Amino acid sequence: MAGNGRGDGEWRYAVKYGMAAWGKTCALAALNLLWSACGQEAGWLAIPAQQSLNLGMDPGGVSAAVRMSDADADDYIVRDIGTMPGAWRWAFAHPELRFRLRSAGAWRLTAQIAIPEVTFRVTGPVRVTYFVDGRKLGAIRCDHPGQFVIDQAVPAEWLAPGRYLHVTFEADRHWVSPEDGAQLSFQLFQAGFQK
Amino acid sequence: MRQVLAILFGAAFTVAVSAALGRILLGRLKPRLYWEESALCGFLAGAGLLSLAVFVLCVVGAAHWSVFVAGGVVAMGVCFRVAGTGAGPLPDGRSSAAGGRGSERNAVLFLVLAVLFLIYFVNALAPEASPDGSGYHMGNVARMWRRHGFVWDYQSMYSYLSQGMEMLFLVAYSIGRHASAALVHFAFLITLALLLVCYGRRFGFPRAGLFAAVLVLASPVVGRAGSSAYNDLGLAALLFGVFYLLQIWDEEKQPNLLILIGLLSGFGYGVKYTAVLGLAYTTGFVWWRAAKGERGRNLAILAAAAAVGILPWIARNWIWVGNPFAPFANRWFPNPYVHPGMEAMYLADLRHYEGIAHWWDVPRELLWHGRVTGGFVGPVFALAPISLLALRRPAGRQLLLAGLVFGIPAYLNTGARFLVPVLPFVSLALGMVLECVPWALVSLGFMAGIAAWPGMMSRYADRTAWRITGVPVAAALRIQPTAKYLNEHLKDYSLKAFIERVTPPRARIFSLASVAEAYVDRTFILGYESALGNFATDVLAAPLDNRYLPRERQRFRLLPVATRAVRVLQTGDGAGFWSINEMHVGREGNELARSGGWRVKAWPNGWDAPLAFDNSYATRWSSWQQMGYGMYLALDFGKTQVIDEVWLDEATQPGSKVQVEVLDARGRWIPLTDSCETEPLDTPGGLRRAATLALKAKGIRYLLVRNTDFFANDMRENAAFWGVTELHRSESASLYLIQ
Repeated sequence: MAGNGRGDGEWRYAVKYGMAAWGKTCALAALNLLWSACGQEAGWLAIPAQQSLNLGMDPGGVSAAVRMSDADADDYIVRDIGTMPGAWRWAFAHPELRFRLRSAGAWRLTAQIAIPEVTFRVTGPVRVTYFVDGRKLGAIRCDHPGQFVIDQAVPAEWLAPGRYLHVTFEADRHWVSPEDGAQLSFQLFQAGFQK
Repeated sequence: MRQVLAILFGAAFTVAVSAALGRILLGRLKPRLYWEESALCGFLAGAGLLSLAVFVLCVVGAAHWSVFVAGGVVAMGVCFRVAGTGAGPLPDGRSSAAGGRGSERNAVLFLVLAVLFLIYFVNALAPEASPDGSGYHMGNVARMWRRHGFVWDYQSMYSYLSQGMEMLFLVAYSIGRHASAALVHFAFLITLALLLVCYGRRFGFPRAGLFAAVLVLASPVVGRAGSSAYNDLGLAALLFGVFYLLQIWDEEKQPNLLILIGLLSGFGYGVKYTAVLGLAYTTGFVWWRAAKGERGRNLAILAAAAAVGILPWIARNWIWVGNPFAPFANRWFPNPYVHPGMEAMYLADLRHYEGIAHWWDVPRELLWHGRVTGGFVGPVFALAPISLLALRRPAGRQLLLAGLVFGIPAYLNTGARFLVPVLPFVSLALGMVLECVPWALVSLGFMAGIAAWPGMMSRYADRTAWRITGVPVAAALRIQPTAKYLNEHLKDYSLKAFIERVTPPRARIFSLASVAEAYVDRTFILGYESALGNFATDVLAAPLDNRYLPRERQRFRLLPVATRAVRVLQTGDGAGFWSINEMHVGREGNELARSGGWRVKAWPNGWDAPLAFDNSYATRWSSWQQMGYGMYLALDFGKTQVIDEVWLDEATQPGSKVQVEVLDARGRWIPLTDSCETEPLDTPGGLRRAATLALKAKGIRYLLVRNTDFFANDMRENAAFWGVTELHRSESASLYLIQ
């Protein structure tokens, strides 16, 4: 009888703890299910159909020319031109601007630049070469302090309406700031394309 | 008049079927309740059962008028055959009308109740013109009615909310349309008022109970919401019903009451997620008050009964959206339908009092001004602090504790509606405190009634506050044509006829702001309601807003490396989302042509990863949650490729710091560089057209544009650039077709 009683107790013990273990297993399974549901991800997806970029132009935005005093002048500047608003801005080592033409035709590249007295005293005469989309268009020699105007016809085959045109300037001599090493080429008032 | 009869019948039928189902249930449970308690709690529980039955019909697509009527008739037949009174034996020695003295004073309060009842009834009977009622509440109902069930292909955060009340609205709507649904909600308002009276009678505060009913009914936000197709009064009635039954259970410990309490708690969750607080309160209360050995069993009964009302909604959302708690908890349960960032903005917007300069303006707005809080609870509730004196009595402590718990959502939502569940408890506690002061309850109740009179409210409330503004008898009786009334009260209703005439039935129409979708038989994609709406808003903003316009290119140069996959990993953090319009990979200065064998992946919001590779600068992949370390956009070439450059075209993003990584042969991501050159991007022209083409690709062919929308003027002036045709222009909006 005693043996039976102990056996009965062991059976109850086994059932009790077996149930507890089963409960824990169920709880873990439920947690695992919840956890896996939490981690839902899209996975790897196929590359989509490629959209056309040839959708014409938008109104406004970058146009054929800009004055440095224009409110949207920053939109035309690609690099190396000062950000202080005003009638002119400093052109640094490799200044670059961008423009867009709305039509084809006989366009001329124009720019108004200036060499101030104070930098001219250091650099002497400066030769500024200008490029359209990396192609050299011409150069201007600034042999005295003061303002200079660039105005030169651009070959029609260089120009494409609607596409961005990048205009870069390269000065052969720069004024170098003794304080921060900044290289100043010239003062830029306006640039762009005109018919 | 036939229309009015149909409206009344639709509402009465829904209420009657609910009551019948409740009576059958209570006939089984046999709780010991007074007959009036039995009737009211039976209605609430029966409404839960009816809601559940309609849920099942919606799942299987069998939500038809004939099914509702047949099922309702059967339910009522069974009720009359098998159910008794629905009440068990009464508690010893007590009357439900105990303590009912001072009948001349009560008569004044009853008179106020009767007048308010009539005002609200007429308003509920009038054509439904409330903002949310004519918007998403009845919009969802109308959509389900058209499709005879849940509309699984419709994406809106409001359609993911639990819709227990909308299930009842659907039955009423099938017979009497919108106003029937509003009347069903009105029935919950009346149930709440009667429950307050019953509570007072049962627990020895009859005058306080009557006073509380008057105070709650006289609250302007209660009156407005209760006579509209909303769900706030359903929630308030259920929460108070749960509280009421818990008090009875606390005294008598009837096990069957816990089943009823659980069912009401579960149905509460089905009506509005915030009712989860009711379940938390109930669980805590039962745990606290049950005998130690009984706790587990009691809580198991409670949980099982509550699950009946809760699990269907959780299961629906888990299967449908991949998020059991949609439209919330999207960070935990990512899905392509609601972005975590949108959820965060939505919740922040709800918490924010727009146009309030000082915190002390909040009580003014909530009590009587109501301009920025979407209504107001009424100036009489300025006396609410007096209710704290009820803490001296056990019943008062119970009431105020419950009010405090049920008021938690009001901290998270500035709308006065979120205080509605608190008002019954505060009103009762206030009544308990003031009932010892002669004539205080009557005079205060009378003043509350006067303050709730529409003409009186216009003297002290803000002109734009959401409230009852009149008693539209002619509109309610349909003497005034419904269309004329709705034209006067819903700004977009005038567009209905035109939209339905010029757009096909399955048309998807994008609108930045909400629309009276309950009345327009078309599918609207709203800008803030879904990931699709967010996408549409994004692409329309891309050509116009510098925060969206891709203006710069980040160029990462690498030593030539052979790899199967490359990814850009975010290592910075910022307040905004991280987004990339286009990701390119190059070699020797040329972009690698995208191949059909390539695969893309992102985390988070991987579903939008292809948008960074679609060659459209109007679309973009966005994390749609706050920028943080570990987010990535990856590209798998399908085979080994040699690359030496990665560039990202995107809008300027403060805080972003990107690292380029490639996959090695052992499947590990190897960081290569985190330094880049940033240059202005020559954004391609035609962004406006690209935007509308992206919408068209998502099936959106029409745009409903308000004059105040950020792109309205530009679209009107540059319609040709957008590639849209203006089909119709009203005083406030235009409808465009995308060509």
